[in-house]
Amino acid sequence: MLRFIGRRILQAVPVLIGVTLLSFLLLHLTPGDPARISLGPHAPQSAVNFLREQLGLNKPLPTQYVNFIAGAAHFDFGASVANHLPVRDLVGPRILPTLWLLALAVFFSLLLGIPLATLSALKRNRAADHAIRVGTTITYAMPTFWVGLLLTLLVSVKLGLLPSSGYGTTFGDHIRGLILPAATVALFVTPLVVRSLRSSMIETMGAEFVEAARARGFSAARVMTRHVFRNSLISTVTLLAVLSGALLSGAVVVENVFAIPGLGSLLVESVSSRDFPVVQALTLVFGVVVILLSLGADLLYAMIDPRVRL
Amino acid sequence: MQGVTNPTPPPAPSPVVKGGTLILDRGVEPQAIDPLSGQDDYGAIPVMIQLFDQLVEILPGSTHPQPGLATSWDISSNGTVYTFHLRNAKFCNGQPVTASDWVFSLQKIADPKTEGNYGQLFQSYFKHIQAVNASTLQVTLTKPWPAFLNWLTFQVPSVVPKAYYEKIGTAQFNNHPIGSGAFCMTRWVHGQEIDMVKNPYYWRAGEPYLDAVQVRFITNDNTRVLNLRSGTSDILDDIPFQQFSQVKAFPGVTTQVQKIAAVDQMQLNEMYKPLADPNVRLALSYATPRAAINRTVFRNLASPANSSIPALENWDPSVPVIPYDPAKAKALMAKTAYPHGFHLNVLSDTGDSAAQDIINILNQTWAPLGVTISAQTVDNGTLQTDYGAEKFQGMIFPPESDSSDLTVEDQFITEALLLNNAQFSNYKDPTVTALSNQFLNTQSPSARKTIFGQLQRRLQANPNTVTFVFSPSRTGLKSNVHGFVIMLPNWFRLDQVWKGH
Repeated sequence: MLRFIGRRILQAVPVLIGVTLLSFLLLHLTPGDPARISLGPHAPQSAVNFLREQLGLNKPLPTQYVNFIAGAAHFDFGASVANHLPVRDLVGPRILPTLWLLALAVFFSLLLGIPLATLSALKRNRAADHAIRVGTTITYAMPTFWVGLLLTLLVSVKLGLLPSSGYGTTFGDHIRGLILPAATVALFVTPLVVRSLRSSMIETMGAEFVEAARARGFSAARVMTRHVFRNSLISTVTLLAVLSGALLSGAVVVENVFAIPGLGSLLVESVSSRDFPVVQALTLVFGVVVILLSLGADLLYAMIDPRVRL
Repeated sequence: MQGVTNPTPPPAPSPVVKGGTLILDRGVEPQAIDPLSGQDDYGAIPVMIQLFDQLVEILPGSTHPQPGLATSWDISSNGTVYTFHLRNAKFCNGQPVTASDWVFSLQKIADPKTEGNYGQLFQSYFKHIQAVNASTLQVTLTKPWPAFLNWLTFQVPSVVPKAYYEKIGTAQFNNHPIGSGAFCMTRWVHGQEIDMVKNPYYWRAGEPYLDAVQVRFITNDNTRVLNLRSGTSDILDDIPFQQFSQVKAFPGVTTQVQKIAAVDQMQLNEMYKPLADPNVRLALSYATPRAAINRTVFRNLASPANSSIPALENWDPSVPVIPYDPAKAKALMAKTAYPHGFHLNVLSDTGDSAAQDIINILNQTWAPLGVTISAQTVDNGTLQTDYGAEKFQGMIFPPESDSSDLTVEDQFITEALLLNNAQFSNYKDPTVTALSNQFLNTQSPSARKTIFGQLQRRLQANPNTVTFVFSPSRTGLKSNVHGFVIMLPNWFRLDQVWKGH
């Protein structure tokens, strides 16, 4: 198992370098001069040139990239172009809100998705199954920014139950502020959970070991929970790990709508101000998160199915 | 727009209620709040004005510099030596504000190594800055500077505590600034909010009225509107034009529409040959239906612009707005080398729906001239970069982008007509250049008014842009918020704002 983990970690290194290289090139190919954006349209060209020099933007691109990688190896991502603060100080405090948001969204998705998928599988091709499938398709098709605004209108404006935006300062504030954004992401993820889990459960329900369990006289509830559900959930867990990239990109939109100071909103601000050091550091963080989650899924597979380690 | 005064706050019920926390939602977060870095980004100025003091100030109800940290000043007969008499004031850390703090601050602003926009300007005028004694500051200029006091009302020439600034450096000062303004910053959670509490040492006795201010940064327009609607914020500025009537109908909310120093217009780059012909630019101006644009895009909240320079202190309302006259536009176009028109590529911000609507209107009204527009939307960073690199034919910035930080025209004239190839437009008109320089170097207020009137008329006859409207500020406030007013340079002071029960 250790050799397997070591091999997967080694495989992740070139992936990370590839991710940073690609983002670095894309960013520098995108029109937009960070010095001009920082100083504004009225700034004299001489001031813009001076700032470019100070930021090291006049150096050749390979030199800039090598400097970035060398710094990143020591967790030193330089200073932000926009406000001169160390990138570490800007990115660090933004990680937790995003992780909390994603964790809560996954929790809501499972809370909603598991009963719906179970009901759908048990009532296959009956009215309840059709209703669940149509309902989840509708929520999946709705843009997240729109769902977010609708939820705010209902829960915050009409009912006054939760804040309409913001992350607050205390732990209680954080949770209250994250419920609506997490629910918004969950409404996007739940349909995928329902579809995956439903088909997996239907398949498992027809498996020989389930028939055997029934033949041994186990109750329907025990067969469902101990045999069908546990075996079917594995594919859903894997799906969520694979979806981590999509969840992170979903967070970009939702954090903007709900003013959550997470990685997604920082990415939007940094791309718009061409804050190269921040965007590069964020790309690296996103890459690491996605790779770690996918590594976790691989490990889970390996634990369940030893053939994967061969 | 009837005459120009700095808006005054509506009369508030008395007595003033002291205390409480004001929550204000803004769409733009400051990049930096260190005034000495010379940056003047739109997110920073309304925060800096609460934290820092200037020698002279613009107050609601006046466009003229008023005593700030300088109680009075003497000007030498040749107009080059200003002696400021400083009041007793203290920074948020309890240290007194001294003339040597001022010397440090002004010298740093005029340092050519300062990254911001104004180092060169101040450097070109500052000859010598000295502390005569702890409460007297003397600034010697290289030449008379008629708008010097107006420039001192701006947030860049603010005072910071020399010892503290030198100890922690620019980057850390940004995060932990100390000023002598009405409020002291307690924390800046990047991407979320800036928190301020009242300055216990503030020199205006009894002010500020509020105990604390929370400025939250929420980029999504809809979310900010919903926050006011749900009562989680007290003030919402920059209400999108299309949502103004909706906000106006919110229960428990009042709205304000105030004149600000902004003009919405299409920038033209004369490197694109058709636009180098004055008759082409004039034809486009005559084919522009400003009233229809105001009605459709700006919901009749703005007023058609009679100048490419915002309506400030010397603005002449009697200069006529170029009327919508398709026949005259056609006749002018016939005189040019492009009687059958040309194609124009217009850049605008991806999120700027007003620009898209304006382009749609112009596509119809410019079509009879044979002028077709292709609209290209790019993100704001690309827009600014292409502008600075002169890589555009026509460009529309989001509303209020073209605004002045001063209540006089000097900043706008310098930036739009003189520097950077007339702000990247390559506009050349010897009369305009001569009048601009004459205006900038004239001391007499009445003479300046006359010269500006001539300049305004000249720019209408030989336009450098296609003007649309003077756009106003739009603010929504909870009904219990009093004393809030957006001033002419599109910023606000919170020292006299209070919340009723």
